[in-house]
Amino acid sequence: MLNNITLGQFFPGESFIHRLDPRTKILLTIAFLVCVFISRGFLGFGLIVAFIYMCAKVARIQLKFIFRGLKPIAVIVIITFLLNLFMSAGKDVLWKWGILSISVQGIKNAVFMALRLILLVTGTQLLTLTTSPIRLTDGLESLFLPFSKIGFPAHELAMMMSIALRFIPTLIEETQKITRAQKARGADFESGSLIKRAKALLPLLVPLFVSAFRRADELAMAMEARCYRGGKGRTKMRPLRYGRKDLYALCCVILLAGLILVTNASGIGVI
Amino acid sequence: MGIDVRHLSYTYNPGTPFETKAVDDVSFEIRDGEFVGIIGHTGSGKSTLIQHLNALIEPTSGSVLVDGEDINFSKNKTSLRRRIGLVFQYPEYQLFEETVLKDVSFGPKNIGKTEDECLSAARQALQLVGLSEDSWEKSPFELSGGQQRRAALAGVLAMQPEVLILDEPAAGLDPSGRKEILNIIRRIHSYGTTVVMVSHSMDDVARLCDRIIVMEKGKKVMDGTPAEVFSCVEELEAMGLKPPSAALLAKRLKQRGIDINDGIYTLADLADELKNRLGGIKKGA
Ligand SMILES: Nc1ncnc2c1ncn2[C@@H]1O[C@H](COP(=O)(O)OP(=O)(O)OP(=O)(O)O)[C@@H](O)[C@H]1O
Ligand SMILES: [Mg+2]
Repeated sequence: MLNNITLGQFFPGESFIHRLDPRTKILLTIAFLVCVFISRGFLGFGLIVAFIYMCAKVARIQLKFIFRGLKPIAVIVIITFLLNLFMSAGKDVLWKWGILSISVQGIKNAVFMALRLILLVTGTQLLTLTTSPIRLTDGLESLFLPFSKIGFPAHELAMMMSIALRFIPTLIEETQKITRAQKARGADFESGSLIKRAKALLPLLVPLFVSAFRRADELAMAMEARCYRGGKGRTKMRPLRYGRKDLYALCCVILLAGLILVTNASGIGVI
Repeated sequence: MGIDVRHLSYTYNPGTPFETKAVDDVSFEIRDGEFVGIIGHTGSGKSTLIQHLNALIEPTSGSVLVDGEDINFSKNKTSLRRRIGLVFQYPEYQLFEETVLKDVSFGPKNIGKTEDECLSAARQALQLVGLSEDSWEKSPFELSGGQQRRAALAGVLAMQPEVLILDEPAAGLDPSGRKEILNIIRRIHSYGTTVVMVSHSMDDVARLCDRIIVMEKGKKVMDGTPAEVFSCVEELEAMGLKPPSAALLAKRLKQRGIDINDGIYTLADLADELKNRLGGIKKGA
């Protein structure tokens, strides 16, 4: 059960995309999302699909990992599809039953909206698949740093996020170990009434909390022993630096946006 | 009750970039009354292997048979886990109850014993591990590390298992705590319990076990009596394992031309052997 929680689902690698500055990737992902929204027709979507495919190839990520991330939103995609299918008003009605009707326009809308959702998610997948959670937090911290002038706790949030990211796998492993240890003593977590099952969690939760607090304590001490006192004046071991490759990536996305605007203007495949 | 392991393999995170083959086609049999030691370099798959022995992990392929029945198809896993007790590494992290006595009776309670039976089993187990009576009503979190270890061990013993499996029972204890825990295990074995013990310490294994299984990179590479296994000093060193100090010393002495019998691996035996040999030389000189 716990094995299925893939955290940030980072897929390690050394490709061009992996090595991009995380800030570049975050900003370009936002730009990519805008591209998906401004595209008004299927031709634009074709370009976006080609772009995603190209990125996946460059990053050496198998397409199945990208599709795997679509499972959680499958229900939303289907609902969106059905709502648009039945609810959009069109002239050339193909089928009608009460207030429900399907028109050619409706079919086009439904496919378009479903595709849009899928593309939005696959695009963001590329970011999380190619950026380790720690780099991602680094990037976010650096992007939000200007806002700390108006009291936004950018460093503190980033530190909390890195610590959480660092310890979630540890805690998952620990949960697994304690579960097994109690099972070895005959504990049963899987059967019985709801109340019985909730009670059965006690032998799991108590040791888990004890160890989480112990770890927190030890970490705080270890950080203080190494003179941690917040973000002020703290330097980075690997400072983020924009490089030439970030410029290339920016050009690619600008090109994509330009092409989409052209297809919009040309009117081919626009719905 | 024998445990029969057949072509057991286990892979963590199959189909992802983090795929690890932790156990690779391992077969062996554990017979009644044996004291088996499992040794191997860190990451060689020892902990993964032993968790298969009471169905806590389902094998990727292969099977574990107990009394001729594949335990992964057995319906009553709880009763199986009562008969095959497993003590994890650092078992003190599994303590949770308000008092030591209650914690130790958690196991018996789970297998459906009555309140009285639970308490008497718990008391018996606590006596067996030598925890004095005044600590029974204390919170387990108040005990010292070594005492916690013994309380956790008692938690498994209270179910009166026929086979006891221990993962590094002495890890992280000071020398006297180590000795005590190992003595307890030796005593449990002498009462007729089959024992399987994973250990990093060759000296401990040499002293206690009557059979040793050596694991490397998920595979079983040696299986035999301590004398057989520890005569392969070079192979063990190649795997990054340090043979017992007595076996090493015996080998060095032999290289210096002192004639010592093969198959000596405990300090006591080596001392006897040397007494005989050197005593003889002195007389002759
Ligand atoms: N929960 C897990 N998820 C993924 N891989 C794991 C997990 N537990 C162990 N492994 C991997 O499986 C392999 C065998 O691990 P295992 O813990 O069985 O070794 P071990 O012989 O007990 O080592 P040690 O002597 O350090 O306790 C290692 O490569 C380890 O990284
Ligand atoms: Mg281990």
